[in-house]
Amino acid sequence: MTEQPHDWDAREDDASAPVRRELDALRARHRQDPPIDLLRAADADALPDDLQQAIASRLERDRWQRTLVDNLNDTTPDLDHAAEDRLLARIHQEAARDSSARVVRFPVVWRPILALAAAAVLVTAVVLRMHPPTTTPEPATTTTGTPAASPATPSFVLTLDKPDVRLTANALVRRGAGQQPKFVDDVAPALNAYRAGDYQTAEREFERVARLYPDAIEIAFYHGVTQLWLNDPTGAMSSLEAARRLNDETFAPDIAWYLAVANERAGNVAAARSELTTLCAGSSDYRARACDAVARLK
Amino acid sequence: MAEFDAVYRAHVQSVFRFALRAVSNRALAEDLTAEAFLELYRRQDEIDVSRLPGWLLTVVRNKARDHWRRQQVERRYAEQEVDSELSEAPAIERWVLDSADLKPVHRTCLMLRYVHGMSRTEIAAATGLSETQVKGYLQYALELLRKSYQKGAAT
Repeated sequence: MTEQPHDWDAREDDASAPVRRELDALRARHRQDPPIDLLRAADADALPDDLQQAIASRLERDRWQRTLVDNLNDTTPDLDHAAEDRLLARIHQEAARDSSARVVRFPVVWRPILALAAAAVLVTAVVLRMHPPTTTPEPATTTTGTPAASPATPSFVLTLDKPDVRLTANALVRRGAGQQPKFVDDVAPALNAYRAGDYQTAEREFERVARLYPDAIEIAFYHGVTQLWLNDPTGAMSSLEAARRLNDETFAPDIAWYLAVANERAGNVAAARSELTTLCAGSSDYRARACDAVARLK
Repeated sequence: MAEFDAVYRAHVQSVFRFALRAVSNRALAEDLTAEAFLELYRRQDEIDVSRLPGWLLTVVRNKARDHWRRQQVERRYAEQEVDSELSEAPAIERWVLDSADLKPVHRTCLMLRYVHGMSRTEIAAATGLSETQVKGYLQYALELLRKSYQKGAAT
């Protein structure tokens, strides 16, 4: 809501001149009104509880806002036929993807062969455990490659890249429960494994240190990114939401971006778009990428 | 499958319109609509058609709430420092709300443009009108306001 529109044309300027002072006063009177999108959402009872109550009550008492919302509801456009068909095709496509993602059922004749193959894998694993390789294990991926655990996944609009590790100033003084401030030492194994692309180890280490430092945003955030690299978008969403609840502004855009990535991979396109829309309206480094992606996300 | 398609055709418009009211963003409203119907597709054996479209609207509503939670609207709203006391409406406000000469569409365009500061493009997106239509409605509404003011009706 801008205080003084700057895009009036000459005709509007002329026509409004006699009532300019009254319009200015009206604008000032409604400057503090809740945003129109929130008013409409409250009218649809679609806001989180506390906010719903506050805005719905306002909507009930203010005839200006009530009229505006009613009129907008009356002019809400329909889906055109093309969009209606496109959405139906998308639903069928998603539903087909669901069924192809279900467990593959092998014919009975294959089962002995598969059992033998499984046994061979087991023996190999036991031998390797008894005689571990002396060299450092190959990382699961490189920083620019695709995740090692990645199956033949559909292509996504949002590419997964790997954010560099950075620590907040709090990291230097952070204490675990009843411990001396040695956060950096404790978290080092997880972060080193993450940097090396050894995401399985990183995942285990992040799980461990998350219990020691439940308020450390670095752990929650990089844990979430690690889970993304392990093709676990649901786990990633949970870790990234936990990171968001810690309310650290410096990580907020990163969290939003990776939540968008996780949501797209989990099939929650609306949630991904919602994150991207916020980023696109902001001023972080993710802005351009988010604006581009939100336009391409189907 | 054919049955699902028929259910979709029967309810998609009302679900989409509700989604658009709930999130005020066309692309997002389409996403929510698609996701609600996908949920129905997955659970079509459990959901009785007599519960439609209410069941679909509930799915959309819940997803819209998740959307607003992610937008951290609480903070955005708090920043508005809303004054809960409403003073008496000035004459021009009463005219905008009550004038019998204004049709709802004129009133809406006038409110959004000259009070809430929206551009013609934004108004077109919010109302589903074309920008040319918005321009025409604005011209008419502003002219009416000016004439009423000159006659003393809006003061």
